[in-house]
Amino acid sequence: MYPHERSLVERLKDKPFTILGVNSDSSKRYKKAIEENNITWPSFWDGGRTGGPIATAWAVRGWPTIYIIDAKGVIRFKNTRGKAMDEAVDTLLKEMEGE
Amino acid sequence: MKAKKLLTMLIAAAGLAVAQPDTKNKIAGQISELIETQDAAVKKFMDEVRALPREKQREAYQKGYPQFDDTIEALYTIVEENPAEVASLKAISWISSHSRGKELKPEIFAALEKHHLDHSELSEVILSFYTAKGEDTQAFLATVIEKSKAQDARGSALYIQATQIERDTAKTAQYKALVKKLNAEHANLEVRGRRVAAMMKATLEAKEKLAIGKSAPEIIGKDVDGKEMKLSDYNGKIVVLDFWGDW
Repeated sequence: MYPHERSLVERLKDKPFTILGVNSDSSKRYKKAIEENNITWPSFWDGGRTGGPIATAWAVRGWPTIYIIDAKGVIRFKNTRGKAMDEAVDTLLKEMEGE
Repeated sequence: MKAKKLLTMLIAAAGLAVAQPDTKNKIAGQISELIETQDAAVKKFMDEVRALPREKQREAYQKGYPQFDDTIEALYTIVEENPAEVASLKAISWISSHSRGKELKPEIFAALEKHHLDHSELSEVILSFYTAKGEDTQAFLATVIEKSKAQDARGSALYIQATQIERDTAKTAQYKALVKKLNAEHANLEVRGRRVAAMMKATLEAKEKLAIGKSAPEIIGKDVDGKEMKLSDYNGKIVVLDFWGDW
């Protein structure tokens, strides 16, 4: 998970793109994970538990859960991972460039 | 080694039996002893694994996790000899929740239907079918829903039917119908202390709001240092919203 996300962030660093995390770890574990895995993107911290307010509002029952949201704030993809995640993001970037 | 372990457990169980001459208590005692011995072995193992450095935990976990097979077989033997005993329900629940999705034996379903169909504790047994999706399990759940006089057993059967298909996108309509029925007939059903009918309804409604093509609801929260952040801060950017945890 982390290496793929790191390479995606690196590849698109000049594009209108971000990974935005919602983290369900304890604050201690979360800070350690950021440090150990060189996580450079921002995350909401969801209160240190899986039943936190953001995960509940978004009906998240399994982790990781991924939503890809376009520049207009519309949900466009769900649980798209790995290569498919790259392709989804590239599709949305192309859409933006076409407009 | 396996046989020796089993023998040791049976001798321990027999020892308990002498202290409690009553048959019902004897069976309940044997079942508790087997379950407690196995649970204690798991706890001991987990404590040992947790004491290891984190990078070695996964390997140790995969390599040495205590096997359940002997305990499952020993419990099956007791249940098969005493199918009508209420104490057998506890053993059946344990077997089912430790069988990793494998179905119970057909004769156990037959015993449940014959002796325990209307028993209030049948509900607990049904809730242990969380990952068992085989045909015999489905047939048994349908029987309970149709014939059981125990309200919670019927509710639990509907709940398990629903949870088993919750993630199957081809069965969304069926899932919605089950959630509706649960809310209409089993609003008070509690699973691990939570009223599940209302919870499932709320989740369904949230999911519909979060479908592809809908506007992402605003998120207002904080980062781990307490600094406020909003999803709308990233308007104009493509956002991969990643619910994650380091576990």
